[in-house]
Amino acid sequence: MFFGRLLTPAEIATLKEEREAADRRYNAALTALDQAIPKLPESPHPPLACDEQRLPELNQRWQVAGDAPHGSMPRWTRWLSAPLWRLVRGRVEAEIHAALQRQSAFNSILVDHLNRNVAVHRSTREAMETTISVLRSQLDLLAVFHSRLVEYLQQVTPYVDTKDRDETLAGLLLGLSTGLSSGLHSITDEFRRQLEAMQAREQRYVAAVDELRTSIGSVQQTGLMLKREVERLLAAPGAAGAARAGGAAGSGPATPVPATGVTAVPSAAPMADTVNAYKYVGFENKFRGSEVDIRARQMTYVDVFRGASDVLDLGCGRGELLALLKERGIPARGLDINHEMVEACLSLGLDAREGDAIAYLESLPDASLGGLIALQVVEHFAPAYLVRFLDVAFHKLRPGARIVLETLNPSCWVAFFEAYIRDITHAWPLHPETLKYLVVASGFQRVDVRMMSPYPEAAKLQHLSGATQQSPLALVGLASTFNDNVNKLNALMFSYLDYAVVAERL
Amino acid sequence: MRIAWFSPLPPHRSGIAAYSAELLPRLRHHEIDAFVDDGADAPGVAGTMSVAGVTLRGTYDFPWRHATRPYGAVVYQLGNQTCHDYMWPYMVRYPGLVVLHDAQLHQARALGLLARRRRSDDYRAEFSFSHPEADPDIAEIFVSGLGGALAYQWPMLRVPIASARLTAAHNTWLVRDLAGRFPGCPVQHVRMGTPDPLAQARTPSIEVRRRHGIREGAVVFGSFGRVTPEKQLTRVLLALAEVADAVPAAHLLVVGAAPTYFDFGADVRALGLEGRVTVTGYVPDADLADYLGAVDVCLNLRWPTGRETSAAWIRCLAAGKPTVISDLVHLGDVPALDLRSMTVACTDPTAGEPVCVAIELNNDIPMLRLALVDLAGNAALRGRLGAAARRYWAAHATMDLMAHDYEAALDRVSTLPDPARPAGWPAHLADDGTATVQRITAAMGVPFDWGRAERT
Repeated sequence: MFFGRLLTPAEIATLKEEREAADRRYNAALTALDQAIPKLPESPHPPLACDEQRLPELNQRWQVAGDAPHGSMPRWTRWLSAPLWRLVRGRVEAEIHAALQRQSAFNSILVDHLNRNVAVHRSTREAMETTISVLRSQLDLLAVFHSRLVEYLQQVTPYVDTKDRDETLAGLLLGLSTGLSSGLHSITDEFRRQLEAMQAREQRYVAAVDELRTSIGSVQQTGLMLKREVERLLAAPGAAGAARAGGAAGSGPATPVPATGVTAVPSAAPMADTVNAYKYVGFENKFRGSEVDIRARQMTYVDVFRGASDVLDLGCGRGELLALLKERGIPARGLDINHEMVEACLSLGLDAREGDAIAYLESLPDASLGGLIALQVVEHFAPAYLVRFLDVAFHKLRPGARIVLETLNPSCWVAFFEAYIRDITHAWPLHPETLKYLVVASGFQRVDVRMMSPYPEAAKLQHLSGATQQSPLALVGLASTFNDNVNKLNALMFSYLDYAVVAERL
Repeated sequence: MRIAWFSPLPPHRSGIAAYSAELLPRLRHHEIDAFVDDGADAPGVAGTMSVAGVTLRGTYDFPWRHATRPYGAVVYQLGNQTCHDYMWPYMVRYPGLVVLHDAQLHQARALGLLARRRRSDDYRAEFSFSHPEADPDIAEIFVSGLGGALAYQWPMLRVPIASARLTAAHNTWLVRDLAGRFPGCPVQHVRMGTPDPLAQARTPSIEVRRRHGIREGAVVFGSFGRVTPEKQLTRVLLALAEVADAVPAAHLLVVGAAPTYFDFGADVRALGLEGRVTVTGYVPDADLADYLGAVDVCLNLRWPTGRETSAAWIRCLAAGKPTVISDLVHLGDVPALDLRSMTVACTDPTAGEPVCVAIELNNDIPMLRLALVDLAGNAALRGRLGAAARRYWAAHATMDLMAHDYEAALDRVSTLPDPARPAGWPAHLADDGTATVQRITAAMGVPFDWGRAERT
């Protein structure tokens, strides 16, 4: 009755008190009952057996008349004179004889009575013995019964307790398992129901996003094509005049339109021409790491182009990635502005050519590339060149093709100061968000920024670890502030040395 | 092709039994032996309804028949019911085409191993093999009988899929899901088909309605099949109770029998809907087309789901009825109407007309209310949905299409090799059952390698 709700402490105390009082009353009653078991009295003895000792003699000697011999008169008769004796003798003898006869008759009756009562005595005694024995055994049984009754009553408490405990425990366990099972089922079902609804909705959203992506891609592509057409028109001979003519055709004054500068290919890196190629090979050998290191890093990009063909490795350098792609059966060619690098590739049997990125890309038919990768290249591009490069790359990649642009991460202090400015051919540092924006703005989608080359943990600023909870509060606070600052500095200075923007033309 | 076909068959009352009975005559140009359960609790060959073009056989006959004259393909129709227990020993030893009707076999497998046979160690081994990523102690929840809906979290599919040459499923989502979860195991889509119910109807709908005292002018929402909680009819009742006054024409016709553990009538009475709900009890398959004709809208809600493709729902589509379904992940590619916005909800943005109304699981009562009101009050909408449903069936779910896909799957499975058993394969599934024979023959000095004898 109480399991429907929780019991209050007062109710628990009351229940305990009632229970203990009942225990006390029960035990007192049991003790009283135990003490009231009657003590068995000593059993009465049966009467003594009938005394038959003289009975045989009585049976022999009961007859006192008839056999007495004449003449053997008592002695006292001797002093009587003979005549007198003769005179009374007959009379005396008759009287005596009669008396003896009566005595014998009496004796006979008496002995007969005694003989008859012997059997009665015997059976009476036997009956009494039997009765006493039966009574005794019944009293013994009654005593045993009393003892058993008390023992039984003594067992009532443990019996009831254990029975209650058993039933309660079983009931509790049953209730618990049923409730647990039911609750588990309901909770699981509810979660799964929510999850199913969310997943059903999510997959429609994903489909809708894909559709939106496609639409946006189409719009972007249209915009870029229009832009290119406008550029081409403006670059065409007489375009400026036409524009001016167009302007002149209007009602207002003619507005000069710049006819040049829009389509002119910007210089990739002003310094490139001035740096001797062989010197840059030497520079790369010194600072970019060994071929083994670079090859290991570049392995991460091979999966991006699995199944692709016509992949262009822009800035192929010494051809490490080209070799990897070739090993994996992915057709690829390289392009580098550095003659010595191209020679190095060719010497390895790799397909590579020398040239400017934009000029080369523009020489290709639209949608002819199955992928484009430029590792540590775009930082060599001046901003205008980079924007133009991305525009052209978008058009030369096939739908579904991917572009990968890896560069130094200038948002990391050590990458900027220790790596970026070390190379005199770097034209412009590219923040990850900046490059991502430019890639998106050029029409690419599914853009992902992957942080690379984490700065070694051991080389980062280290936390202060001496302060413990037992340390003075001020010291703990100081250590905490110090460590927070270490985290901030590490995040600014020692995060990731490189990053890559991976995107797809849809 | 000579085909061994493991499946329950009528009179066993299961969807898969009816499915096989409908499909097998379409494949009758093959030589098909259908192997049914001839265990103590099963009808056996004698009790099974004969199917045209198919020879019925007891399962125990399979090994020697296969050994003497191998079948080109062995097909296992597998679902989450204990009536499929009998095929497991064969499925793991004679790889073939496993047609996975439910992507959730845990309950049936646990029932088969734990409740029926008390093989808890075997169950534990299968659980661990099926879900190596899960803590083995999770199995104890099910051993102690406390699993409930948690079973859906661990569906125990690995054994049948890893032992199959080819697994087939009836919806594309499931095919993709299984292929992703079990790389290296071939999975193929086979479209689900049903016969045309319009060709089977015999009794006028008005006669069916009169038989059950449904008043004239009622808009009848029908539910078909066994009246189980999974059909979400209690949720329908809750929604109906809320809009009963607003849609006096709406009437619920439940075509099927209720099991003893689910008192649907009590729910009806508790909500005071006695006059608005009719439960027919069991209706023979042959009469279902008549009842389909008598309803205006079909309710095909389902939760929880084993990712099954419901033949009952497809039959409703085929009958040209507007259907109301649960918005389930694996049905995401079916164009469904969202009545709140009157837009098409579908994972395929190019999908055309909606063929059904989908009810979100976490918003079901309000959406059911809306469905009852809109569908009861808008005959034109019902007509459009029904016509689109019929077109969808004709394009995606006829018996001809299903038979065509089966032919492709059978061709493929006949050429695929038996899969290698993966590491950790449960020992009890590797046992070939000849240990006793080998012991006896070895004692007589006659070594007997059953596997070698069978292969040669």
